[in-house]
Amino acid sequence: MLKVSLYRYNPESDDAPHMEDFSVDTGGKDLMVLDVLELIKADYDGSVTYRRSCREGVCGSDGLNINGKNGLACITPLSETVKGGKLVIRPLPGLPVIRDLVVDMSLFYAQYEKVQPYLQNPSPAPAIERLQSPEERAQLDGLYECILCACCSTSCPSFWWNPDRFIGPAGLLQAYRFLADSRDTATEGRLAKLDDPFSVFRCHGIQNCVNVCPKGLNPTKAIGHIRTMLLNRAT
Amino acid sequence: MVTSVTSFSRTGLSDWLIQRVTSVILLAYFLLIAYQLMGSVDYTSWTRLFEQTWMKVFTLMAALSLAAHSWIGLWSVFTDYLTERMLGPKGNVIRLVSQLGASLALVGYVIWVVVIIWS
Amino acid sequence: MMGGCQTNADRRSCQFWRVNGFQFRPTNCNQLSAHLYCAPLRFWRLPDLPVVNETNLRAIVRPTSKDTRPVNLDLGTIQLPVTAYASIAHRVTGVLNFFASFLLLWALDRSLASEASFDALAAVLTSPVSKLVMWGIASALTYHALAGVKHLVMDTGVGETMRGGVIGARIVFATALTAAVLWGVAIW
Repeated sequence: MLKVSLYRYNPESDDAPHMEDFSVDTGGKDLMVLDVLELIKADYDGSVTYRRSCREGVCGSDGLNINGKNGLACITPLSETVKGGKLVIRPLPGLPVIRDLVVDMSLFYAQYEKVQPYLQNPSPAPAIERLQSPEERAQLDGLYECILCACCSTSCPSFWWNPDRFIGPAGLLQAYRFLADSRDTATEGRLAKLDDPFSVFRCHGIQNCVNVCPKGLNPTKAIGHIRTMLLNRAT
Repeated sequence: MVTSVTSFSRTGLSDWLIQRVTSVILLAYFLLIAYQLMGSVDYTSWTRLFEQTWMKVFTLMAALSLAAHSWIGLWSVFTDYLTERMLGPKGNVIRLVSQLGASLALVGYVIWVVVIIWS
Repeated sequence: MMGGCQTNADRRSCQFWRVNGFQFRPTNCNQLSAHLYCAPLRFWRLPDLPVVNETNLRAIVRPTSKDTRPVNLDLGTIQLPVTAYASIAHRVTGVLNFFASFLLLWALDRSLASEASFDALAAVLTSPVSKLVMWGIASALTYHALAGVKHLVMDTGVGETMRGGVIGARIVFATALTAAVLWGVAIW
């Protein structure tokens, strides 16, 4: 039997959140954390609330704080996270909780929107596509794969303290994704918007983001590249 | 672009660069002092060291670096924890008072160093 | 909640929004690659959305006294990598050094004022309490300097991977610990 401790909060009846314990029979199988949540929802308490969709680490819906570390419940096996037979699941840190494990991601998306995460190029679009050399395309590897699950930003202390002013690792990874794109011509405008003491420079290289990214991406490195670009632009 | 009027140089990049440059100056200064203190120090050799012009300039540079470096560092500490978000409405007052106190202390440090080495 | 092009300015500058001169909004898009896939599939006319800028962003997301929703930020429940502890210690020692600077300046002042004050300072520094304070300041300063060097190294792009960061943090902790012991030996 696996001891599972869930963060519960019902805005209609609770003044404060509390932890609720369940004993779940996993049948000795190495389930994914999401499977355990589905078991609890099906067999123990149908009111347990969480986001999920693809259940294979592509949609980025089920980012949760699992035994203290952010990750996607659907691709985190119990064998990787459970030590001492206990599984503690809490919502992503730092964002307001709507209910149980569901957080309000408005802040996270607003920061994403600030970096204008789309290609900007005023020249008329060619009939088929804007061409890139394989080398130029390779610049986007490790950047475009982000699924916006918010595991990184909600593990970042700088984002906890200033989620409205520090763009956060996820937003900055995408900011660099478009700065690095050979087809994008708005580099100067993008950089000008980032040169303040909060948007980029609140990153102190803590690397919690790299530690948790379920896609193995490296926002710290991307932020370093942005800093270098800002430095080259100004000197 | 997030505006901020209490940061040291108003832009993120110059704050960042100043933090790096001053850190190197401070590191060099403290290594020099540590090296001096390794040997036996007496009053005569100690004052002779600080009488030389290059040492006076170096000490002043270190003091200015200390002030800039601390301002930038403490400012990020204040704007992380002493905020409206963390402490409620009184957060802004606490932060500005702390910022003012730290700034005055740092100006005081620089003046103190000038007084020490040029008197 | 859509992540992508939501404002008029965004739509004007995004080539994927323009199809036959009309502005359309693909569904389920939060990345550029997604636009490519679903833009031709489903469209609907998008009503005007407010432009998100710094001013209204803060109005939207700043917690007000009305927002009584809980936030999961119980630091005791969050597992941190060694790099995070290195960063926290860098910050703590930085603040300590700010206060220690006062004592260091006082010591510099006493040491240079006159031969009598130099000797008085030397006498004060032999007491157990001041030795402990000296050791504390020297250790904090050394840690802060070492962690600062790690920052400078990482600024050059070295050690930005998780493995690199962990190795760097461990080196800093180990060196600082050794230095603290050596300072202890030197002082006592």
